[in-house]
Amino acid sequence: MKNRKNLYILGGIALLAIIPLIAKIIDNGYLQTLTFFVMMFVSMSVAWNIVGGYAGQISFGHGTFWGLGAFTTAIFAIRTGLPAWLAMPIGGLVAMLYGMSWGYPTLRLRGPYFAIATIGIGEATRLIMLNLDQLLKNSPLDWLVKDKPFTGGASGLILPSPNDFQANQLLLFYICLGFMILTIAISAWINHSRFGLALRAVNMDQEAAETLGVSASRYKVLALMVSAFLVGVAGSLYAQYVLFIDAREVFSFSNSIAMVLMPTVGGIGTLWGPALGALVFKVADDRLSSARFMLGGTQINLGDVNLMLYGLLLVLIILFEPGGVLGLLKRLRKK
Amino acid sequence: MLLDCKNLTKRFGGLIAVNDVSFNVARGEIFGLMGPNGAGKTTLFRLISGIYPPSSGDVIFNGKNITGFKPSAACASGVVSTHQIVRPFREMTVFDNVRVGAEFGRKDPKHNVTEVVNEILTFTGLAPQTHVMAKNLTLPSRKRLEVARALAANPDLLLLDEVGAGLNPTETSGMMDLIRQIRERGVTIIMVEHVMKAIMGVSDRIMVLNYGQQIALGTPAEVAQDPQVIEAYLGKQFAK
Repeated sequence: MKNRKNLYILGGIALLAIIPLIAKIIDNGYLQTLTFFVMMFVSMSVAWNIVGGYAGQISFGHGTFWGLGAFTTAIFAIRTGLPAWLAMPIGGLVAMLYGMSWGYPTLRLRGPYFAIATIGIGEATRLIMLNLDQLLKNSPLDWLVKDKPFTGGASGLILPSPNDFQANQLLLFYICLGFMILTIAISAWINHSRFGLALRAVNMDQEAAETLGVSASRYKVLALMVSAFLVGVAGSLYAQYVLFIDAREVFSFSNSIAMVLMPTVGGIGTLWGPALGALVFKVADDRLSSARFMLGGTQINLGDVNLMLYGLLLVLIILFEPGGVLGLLKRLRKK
Repeated sequence: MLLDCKNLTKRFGGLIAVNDVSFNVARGEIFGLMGPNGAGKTTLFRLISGIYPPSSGDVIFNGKNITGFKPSAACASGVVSTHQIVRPFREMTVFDNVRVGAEFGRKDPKHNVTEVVNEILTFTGLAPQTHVMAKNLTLPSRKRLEVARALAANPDLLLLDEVGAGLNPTETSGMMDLIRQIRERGVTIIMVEHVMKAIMGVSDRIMVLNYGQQIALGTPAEVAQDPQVIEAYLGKQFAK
């Protein structure tokens, strides 16, 4: 049983590793880009699940970590002229510190109140990053915006182009693959460790956990920091891959929603559920955005109504299969 | 004295749930806490275990002032409480439930966590259900799990809140035997209990609360004779 599972994992990694070759033959590399994004979203979903699933603290503010990872990378690459990939750990650290700064006060709130607070933080962060250049002008930090834009506001930032675009994309593909494996390994380790036990206890009954000696706020903040670091690194990868970012896009609420939706679809609080959810979500998203059909003489573009479809999907899952796709698979196998 | 509570008071807005209550508990004692519904027993427990900070008064434990400690800090000092309504971690096995107490309570460096958990599961009679999900346990087993989990945190003082409630007479007497055995392990116990026979039989001393105030404190026999206690439980016409 255990050996077979390891075999599946190795097979999956091997398949992912040869995707760029397959993509070159069949569709000019589109499959490679799609797989890159699937792997990035798998990492984000698995990372969100550490605090949202294991600890049960539903955060709608994870978009801030992703955006900060992306911006840290762009600013680093533009200002230092060094290779952008060097900024990956820095992007993670910035996101982690930001997570600590807002997690410490907000994680005292319970249940829906925490979720609502994170929505506010996400929105506030986007507005600040969008207007940061204006705010810095004529302030003591004026030197940051004197020669070139800092966050670029609505016009965004363009990262320096790599010498060999194709080779860079390929390198990033493999970095992303490695990063995804690392993220899943961290999540698996937490799931089985003392740390994970504390998070699950806090999730199921915080008061009971505290009377047994679990320092709930400390573990919740730690979980948020680990989660934020990983999402920050994912944001850094994104910036390097697309080479253009702007605050409106990377801090958009829909990214935060996606990180809640994916683990919920796949199976919240489990190890593989969030990964599965991200795969389903991203592939469906890709297919939907180009699907259209005629209805009574009007062309319906499914890409325009995708948010409605996600909403419907979420309601169906919560009503009929709270365990997500993973729960559904388990139930089918039992029959 | 292991525990010394001085003038504990807790107000919830205009309601005084616990009013100027003082008492102490000796090491190795089983101390009973009685009173009609709403007398303030559970609130008093929550003041000692740190779930609520008291409005005034002090909790001295083992010579250390632990007033206003958070529950996790109180647990680290050696005070662990169970909950009136059982609160198992539902989606965890019995083993993992007890493991939470063993991992995060006061660790005994001589033993590893798995040993401690297995020993306590055997001691409380839960060993056959080690790998059962907590949500699938029967009520008597859940009550035992509540005690086992608290015991795994290695307390000096265990606060048991109505561990006999909802049990039939056989199960209750089994639970009282367990409480005596816990005392033999060197753990001091304060227990709230409504089953009169049970608390009278097992306690060394009993304190009775009514409307947040202490109305009697003494041996079971003394307390049972106390006119104020009879009045609180049965009404004025029965008190001589």
